[in-house]
Amino acid sequence: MTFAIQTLIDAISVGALYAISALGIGLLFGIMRLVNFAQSEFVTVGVYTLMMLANAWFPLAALAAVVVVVLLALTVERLAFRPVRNADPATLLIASFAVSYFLQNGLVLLFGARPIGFDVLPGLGQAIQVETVRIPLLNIVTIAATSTLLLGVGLFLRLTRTGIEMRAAAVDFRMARLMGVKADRVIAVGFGLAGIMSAVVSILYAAQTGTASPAMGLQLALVGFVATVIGGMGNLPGAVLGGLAVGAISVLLQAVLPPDLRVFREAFVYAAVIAVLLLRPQGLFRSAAERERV
Amino acid sequence: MKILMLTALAAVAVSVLPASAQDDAVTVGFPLALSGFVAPYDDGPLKAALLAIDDINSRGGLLGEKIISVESDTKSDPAQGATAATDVLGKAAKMIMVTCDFDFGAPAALVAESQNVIAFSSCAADPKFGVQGIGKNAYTMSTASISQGATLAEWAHNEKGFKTVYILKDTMVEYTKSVCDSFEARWTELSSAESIVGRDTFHGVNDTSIASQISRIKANSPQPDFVMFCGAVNGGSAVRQIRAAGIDLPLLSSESMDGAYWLAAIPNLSDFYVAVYGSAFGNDPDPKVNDFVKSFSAKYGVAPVTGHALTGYSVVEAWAKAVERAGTFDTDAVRAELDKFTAEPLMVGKTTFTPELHINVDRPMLIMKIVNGKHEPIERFITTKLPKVSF
Amino acid sequence: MNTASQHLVAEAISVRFGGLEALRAVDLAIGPGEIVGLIGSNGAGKSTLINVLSGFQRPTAGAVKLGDRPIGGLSPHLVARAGIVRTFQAVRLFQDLSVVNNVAAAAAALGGSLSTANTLIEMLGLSDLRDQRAGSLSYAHQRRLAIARSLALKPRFLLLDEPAAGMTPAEVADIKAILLEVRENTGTGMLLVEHNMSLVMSTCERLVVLDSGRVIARGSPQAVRRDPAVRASYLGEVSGEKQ
Ligand SMILES: Nc1ncnc2c1ncn2[C@@H]1O[C@H](COP(=O)(O)OP(=O)(O)OP(=O)(O)O)[C@@H](O)[C@H]1O
Ligand SMILES: [Mg+2]
Repeated sequence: MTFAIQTLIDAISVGALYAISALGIGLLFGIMRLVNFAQSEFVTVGVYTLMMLANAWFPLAALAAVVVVVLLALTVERLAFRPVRNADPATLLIASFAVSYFLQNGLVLLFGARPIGFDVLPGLGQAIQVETVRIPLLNIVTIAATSTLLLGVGLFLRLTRTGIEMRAAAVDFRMARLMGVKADRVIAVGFGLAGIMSAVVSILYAAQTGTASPAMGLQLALVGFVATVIGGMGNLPGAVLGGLAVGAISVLLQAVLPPDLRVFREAFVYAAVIAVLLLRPQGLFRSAAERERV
Repeated sequence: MKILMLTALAAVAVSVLPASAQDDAVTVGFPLALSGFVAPYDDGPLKAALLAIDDINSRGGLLGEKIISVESDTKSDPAQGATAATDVLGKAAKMIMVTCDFDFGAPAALVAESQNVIAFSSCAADPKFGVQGIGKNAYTMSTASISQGATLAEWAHNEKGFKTVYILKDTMVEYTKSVCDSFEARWTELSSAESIVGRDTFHGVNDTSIASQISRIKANSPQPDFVMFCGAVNGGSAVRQIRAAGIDLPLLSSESMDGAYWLAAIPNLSDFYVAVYGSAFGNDPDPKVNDFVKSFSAKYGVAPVTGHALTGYSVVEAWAKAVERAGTFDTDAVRAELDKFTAEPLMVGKTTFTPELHINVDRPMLIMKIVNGKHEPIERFITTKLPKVSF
Repeated sequence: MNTASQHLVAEAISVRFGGLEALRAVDLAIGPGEIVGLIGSNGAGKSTLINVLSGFQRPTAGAVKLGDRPIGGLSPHLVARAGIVRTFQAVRLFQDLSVVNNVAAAAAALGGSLSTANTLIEMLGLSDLRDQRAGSLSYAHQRRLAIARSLALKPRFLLLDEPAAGMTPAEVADIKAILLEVRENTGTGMLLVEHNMSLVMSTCERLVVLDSGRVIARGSPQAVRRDPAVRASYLGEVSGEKQ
């Protein structure tokens, strides 16, 4: 019982981190059909920023991480993606791999490939004991921070003019442009948001791992992409649910699979994704009828 | 006309001679990962090897010849390994040292094999790195991963008196899998299968969280006496998560967890044991190793990050000894001498090679204990029952 | 500004798709506040002409002008910004957004407020559906919403590609009333592509008839209705189809 509850908490907190990653990927995919693998480096750069400021006052370090990552995201958009904006998705994907590769190697050049240990938010290592279940503060903070962020981004997208324009652009970018939505602005805001979300992920991730290593963000971007596929391309709430689902499924599989099969956990997760693609190409969280007319 | 012909002749003569060969110097080649993801693992051994060359040159060189080194960057790309090896062999390298990993080091070693030149990996711990996997000229200065696992099992059982264990294995690389599997085999011989209360796997890079692995450890009642932790890259992250979850059990690990670079993630880490080649912290029971660390620090401004540096030093040391005994740089003669090494006292420890086995299985490892974030040496230890080597 | 400078003018537009000549030297002018009908059988080239006027299709020959300003080379969103807004035969709403946000997204771009959007959906009779997902609307309501969304851009000219397709007679009557009201309030000129003859005949001042990419007749609805060429090639065929 304790194990079951503990596993559920694990599932939610891992899923929450994936959900933010997925939202960042899903947002940019919706707007410009870009699968932004460079988002992994947005996270990684955030972690390295925190590593360098590990001894500084934490709120300052966190703020610095947000500023650095947002600036990085905007710069990447301006220098790398804007010139190829109207290219086909394959070209955009290759561009994003190139950016990712470039940033990752830049980190290796600056810091070396060896992981670097550091300690941020050590207080989060503490835990709350509820009966027999031990809930680490970090899990609670992760769930709280991701919920707040998702809520914040959700409200932004729902209530602000720019947010509505972004959602329109995510559904049909060309149509949105035709309806006067300014592409440069919407895309820049999209990258800015992806930057903020990556920075928050980097803070939580840094607190969890205490390790900065150059390729650490990759898995998050990958899961973000998978989650977007599961959720339905261009469907933002779907991407968030997809992220939660992938995180939860992989934790649950790790918990229930017999030892010999656990090694293949990822394979199971991806098999599930392929099944989704085959059975419901429109994504899990979108009804077939809704897509028919497009 | 005559002058013109002489110049032409000279040009031919120069181009025939290997570029960097000097009459009074012998070349050692380093086709290594000087940049990229594997670079950190080659950095220490390379610097140590260069230090060994300095030491030999300051004693008058080898067979009266000065040793010079040439490096070529594989850029952490196995495919570039062959190119880098061809590069240094083209500069007349008489021996090459390759990357501290089978997959990354083998391509360069295969090129050396094809030119009948000795290739040492600094610390590839896979027995395939040798006669069976590459060829008769391939050696590795490591202690085999299977010995490391068996050694940790026997030490935990006999020296620590631990009765029960939980095994946590990183499946990302062959090395950690091999350490954990050989640990399990030896532990089962010494104790019983039932004393392994649980086992789990994680992936050092792909698992953003090991939360469910941790919950599984915690679900054991009673808790095991210790956790055999076969971690490598990002192992510090896993240890941080384990300790943050309130698991204060002793953790045992192998040389892939050597070094203090990851310790900042777990301030005041205690009860963590690691079997290493030698202490990189200046407190090795063997004063020779501490002297090495001192001169390394003097030359490079920083101490070696991990004890793996010792393997690099001993690659040059071993080859030089064999050359001296053979009285020639001739590969076949040198190889014959290397294959006679029996508990040869090298910087990295007692080293044995045979014509069949070019990796060490019976060299003691130094067990260190981390107490409050500081490495303390305990003892050198080796399993009494050598594991069966399979290739 | 003279009158001519306020017209949307297509001069000798030709469009070729490989061997197919979709438009052949088509001339068309729409004045402010004027509703011009564009009719013709399937594949006659009506949508192609809208594509040309809205910047979606580069003509093989000919020019598009807004007054004296050539706008032929502009990309669609710049044409829209210049005041020439179109709807699509396939509607293309922002399916995941609510009705009001579909309009608000367009209004926002012009600095319009949410109340602009509300006014427009009220005008199009969609107030009750304000918070429904656009994708869940009936076909007729989707077409209305598309018009509301286009109006948020305060167009000088509105190019409507079959706005009444699939509507009941009552719904068609509503659309007609709406178009006339828009014209009344804003002076927007319109190009109405429609197969529904009663709508076209009762709404438009002038008609242009296309057949295989060529203008075969133009003039008042009455004149066009009497035109033997039109009767032969199109109207007869339509009435035959409909009855
Ligand atoms: N992009 C294109 N490439 C090739 N041919 C095209 C293209 N667009 C349209 N056509 C062809 O041009 C001709 C005119 O098409 P258009 O869509 O303009 O007709 P329409 O008058 O709008 O017909 P409908 O009433 O069916 O909507 C048709 O034969 C069509 O197949
Ligand atoms: Mg058409």
